[in-house]
Formats: sequence, C-alpha cells, structure tokens
Amino acid sequence: MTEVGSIREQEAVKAGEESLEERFVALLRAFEPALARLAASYETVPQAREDLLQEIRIALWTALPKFRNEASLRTFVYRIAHNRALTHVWRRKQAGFHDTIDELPLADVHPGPETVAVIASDKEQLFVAIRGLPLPLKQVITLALEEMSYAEIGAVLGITENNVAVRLSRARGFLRERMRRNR
Amino acid sequence: MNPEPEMDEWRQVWSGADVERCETSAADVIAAARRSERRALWTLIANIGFAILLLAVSLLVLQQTRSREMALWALCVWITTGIACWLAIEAWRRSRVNDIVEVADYAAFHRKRAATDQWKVRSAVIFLALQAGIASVWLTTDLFLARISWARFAIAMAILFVICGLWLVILRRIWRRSQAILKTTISDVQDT
Repeated sequence: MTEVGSIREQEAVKAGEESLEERFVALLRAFEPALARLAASYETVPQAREDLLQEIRIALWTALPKFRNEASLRTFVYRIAHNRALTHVWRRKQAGFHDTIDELPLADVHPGPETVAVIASDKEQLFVAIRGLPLPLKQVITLALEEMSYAEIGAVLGITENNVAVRLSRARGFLRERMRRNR
Repeated sequence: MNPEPEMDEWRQVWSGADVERCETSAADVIAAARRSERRALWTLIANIGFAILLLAVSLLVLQQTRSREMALWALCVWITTGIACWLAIEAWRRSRVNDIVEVADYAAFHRKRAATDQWKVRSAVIFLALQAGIASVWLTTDLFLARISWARFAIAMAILFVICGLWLVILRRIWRRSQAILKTTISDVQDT
C-alpha cells in the first residue's frame, strides 16, 4: 500500500469516533482512488464506470452504520465494492453485454489499429488484460494489486487462503499471457 | 508478499493509474442514496395502493353482478394481484439486501434467489396460459351462444391479449435477470 493511502485509511478508521457523515467523508477520501481502479477493471466505458462507482459509494453510505470494527475497514469496503460490481456484471449480462474477452465475438478479440493505439500504454494494457479475466480471477488479482494479504482477500471473498493462492496463480498466468498477446 | 517481480511491476502500474472520475462530494452521495431509498419506498407504496384499488374494484363489481362467472373472474383478479403484490415486495426487499457479507455468500444468496425466480416464472407462465385458455373458451362459447356481440367479444379478447402480453414482458425480464445471475455464478463455481 502507498504511504499516503495507508495514512488516509488510518484517518478513516480514526474517524470512526466521529459522526457518520464525517466517517463517510474520510472513507471516501481514503478509498476513492482504489474504488475507481476497481470500477475501471470492470468497465471500459467512462459513463458505465462512473455509474458503478456511484453505486459503490451509495452502498458504502447505506452500509456504514453497520460497520462494527468486526472486520477491518478495508475488508468492509472491498466486500461492498465487489458485491456491487457483481450486481453490475449481472445487470450488464441481462442487457446482453459480454464481460470477458473469451465471451466476445471473434471480431472483437483482434483489436483494430485504433484500439491497439489506445491500449499501447502499460496502464491501459494492464486494465484491458484484467477486464478480460474470468470474474473469480479478476476479483483476486484486483485485491492483490491493492496489496491485500491472502487472509484479507479470503475474508473479502469468503474463500480459504489456499483457494486465494490457487486463483492468484491462475490469474497471474492469464494476465501474463494476455499482456504478451496485447504487446 | 510476492516474490515474483512481475507482480510488483503490475502493482506499480496499477497504483500509479489515476483513473478518470467525476468528483462527487459526500453530501451528493448521501442525497442520492436518500433519493434512491425514497423512490424505492414510494414505488412499493404505489404498487400496494394499486393492488388495494384492484381488489376494491373487483369486490364492487362482484357485489353488483352476482354470478358464478363474475366470481371466477374476481378470483383470478385476486390471485394475479396477490402475485404481483408479492413480486413488488420481494423486489423492494431484495434492494435492501445486505452488501457487507462475503462475496461468496452474496453470490450464493443471489443464486438461490435466481433459482426461485425461475421457478416463479415457470409457474406464472403455466398459470397465465391456463387463465388465458379458460377465458378464451368461455368468451368463444358465449359468442356462439349469442350471449355477447362480436364487438364485445373482440374487446374482451383484445384486453386478454394485452394483459397476457404485459405479464409475459415482465416474466421475460425476470427470467433474463435470473439467467444472467445463474450463468455467471455457475461459471464462477466451475472456474474455481
């Protein structure tokens, strides 16, 4: 975790003694960039990404009174974020959208010159590759990239540490392959 | 945590990525959350109010025209209104599902709900087909026995088709939503 991020998360925990709204402000300040990255790992279209981010913010506000320090604040936030993202994926599927590269029609698997130019940067390459991962692998890798331990990832997803390790290893393999393919 | 350098490299790119987003204040989010809660509650109240109105109208009609046919019609109205009311309450309850549970539990909960939804849709389609079948036979018999005119027959059949059509649209939406959930969560389970 970056130092600034860590300090902000500590502030968010301290804010637990203050009013609900102050706690929410601190929480947003601490987690907003990470939540935006999470939304970007699910959505390419800026408007849809913003919708998902707003849904997560609203869900965080609604759930905040239930936070009792039983789990860490990070676990609490990422559980909500990933649950909302799951609902978002279901809604998109219902509307007929595809969410992994494997499910896309063949023509979309080989991007045209414009798409190639867009994904040229490391950042875009990484996000495109993550977006193409199957859901369980995407969940694990995004949490691991946020520097969460296996135990924390397990607590967010409700799986064992062994399962986290297996999924992470598979996710890395997929990611490596996709990054190589995109280059 | 990760001895592999590629993970650190990706992490660097990942945490350095400043994803574009609209700056939203906490107050805006709180206001949006309250608006959304209010909207859901008002929708539920409106649905229940409409259901009560339908029940009252059917009771009134039944009271004024006491016949076996009207009693059967009223029974159908009560059953369909009851189902619609139950669906509305379920939809509202679902919108308040706990988001703070583990992702696996959240997915399992929705998987179960989706399976129940599919069962509901199947039952509703059978019920709808039965109801439409009975009504059509009834109306046709009345027409051939010259109890109703062609115009009344046509209007009644049109109303029947519109109601059935509306129900089918709603049921199709429920089916598609549950399919999306089941497909995703089943492929997740297989994947792990």
